[in-house]
Amino acid sequence: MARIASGDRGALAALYRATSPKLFGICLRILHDASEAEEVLQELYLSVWRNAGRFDPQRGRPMGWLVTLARNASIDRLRSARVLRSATSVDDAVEIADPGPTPLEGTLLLDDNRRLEACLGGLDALARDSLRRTFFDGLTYEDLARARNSPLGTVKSQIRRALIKLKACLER
Amino acid sequence: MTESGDIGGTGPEDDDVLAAECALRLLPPAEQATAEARRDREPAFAARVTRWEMEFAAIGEAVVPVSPPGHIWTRIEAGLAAAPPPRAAATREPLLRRLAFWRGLSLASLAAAAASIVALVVVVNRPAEAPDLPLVAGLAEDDQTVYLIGYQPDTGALTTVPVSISIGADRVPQLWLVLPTGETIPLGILSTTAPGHHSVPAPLRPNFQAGATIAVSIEPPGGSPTGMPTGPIISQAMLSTLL
Repeated sequence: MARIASGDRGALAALYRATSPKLFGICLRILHDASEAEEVLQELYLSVWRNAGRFDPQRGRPMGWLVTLARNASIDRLRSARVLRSATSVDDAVEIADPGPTPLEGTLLLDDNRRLEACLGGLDALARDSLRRTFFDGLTYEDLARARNSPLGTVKSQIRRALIKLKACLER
Repeated sequence: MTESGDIGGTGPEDDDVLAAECALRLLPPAEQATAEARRDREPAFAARVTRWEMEFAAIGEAVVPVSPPGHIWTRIEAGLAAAPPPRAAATREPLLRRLAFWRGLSLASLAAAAASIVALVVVVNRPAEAPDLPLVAGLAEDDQTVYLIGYQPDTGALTTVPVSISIGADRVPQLWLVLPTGETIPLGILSTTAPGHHSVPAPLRPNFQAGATIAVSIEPPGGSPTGMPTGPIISQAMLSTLL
């Protein structure tokens, strides 16, 4: 990252080679559209190029930072597309049940990721599914409540309990 | 005191929940904006949000990797010229060095190409806020630059410089403007050997902005008979300013 921040194009190329398949996979999973995912990916690396100097190694792994950028940029695009379409699209989107990690995905999990996976596994199925959908579909509390046809307050307190439990598990 | 059961509290646990909500962007827009403003202001809260982001990133990292198509990197490289990192931007590299990143250019072809479009881009030393900066694009196929394109917004002049293009004798390359809607507008047949000078009709000129996409397809002699690309699109690129 420091090399990228100093203007080393070779370093950006190396980062791209090492990380773009995973990030493209994330963009595709969120957007379900190759050309949209391509645009997000392209903008993402240009943004990394401009902002690498702001990456603080103390704050976490570069991959975690990149995944967060990819996820948030994809969610932004997804949400703006939903505004253009109708509100019912959100409901359509959540009807696609998240299958969770496939067996192949499971084998690819790193140790760090297994830890989160294990802790997510300790939550009740509804909360776990909600967090996954939130990550991949960009659902807010309101979207989740509408999708479930549950009161907003119920969904909020359920997710918050799950987050507290998750935090306790991760710190163990 | 304050209502219990909702966000009300400010203990570390509540902060952690809010940080997780902020990281996942679960909150309605106004509350999300408030949380993000706090993140900008308070390093301790920012650290909590980042810790959650790193944890949740594991969900994303579990997806199956998919190799992006090769043209994405080509476009990123083209974008690097338009968006150098802040430090490089301050030093204003000479034009030739900026063009040099387009791989596959021999020195001779680079010089010829630069000479051909230099008339368009000598004005880049105007202040950055000046409107109508010239636009350029490098069209590449398999990491090999095939054409350099220059566009002068004032006049609608489009200059095309073949760099390294070889196609069958019974085919011609045709240049297209690709609108955001996906619609393609033919811009002209390209020579494979000599620079071309085209004039973009006035009604089309507003479409020529930084970020607009142009593409080259391979067509029968005389160009596409349908007004849309009929042969393979061998390259596409985004127009960008040199500054």
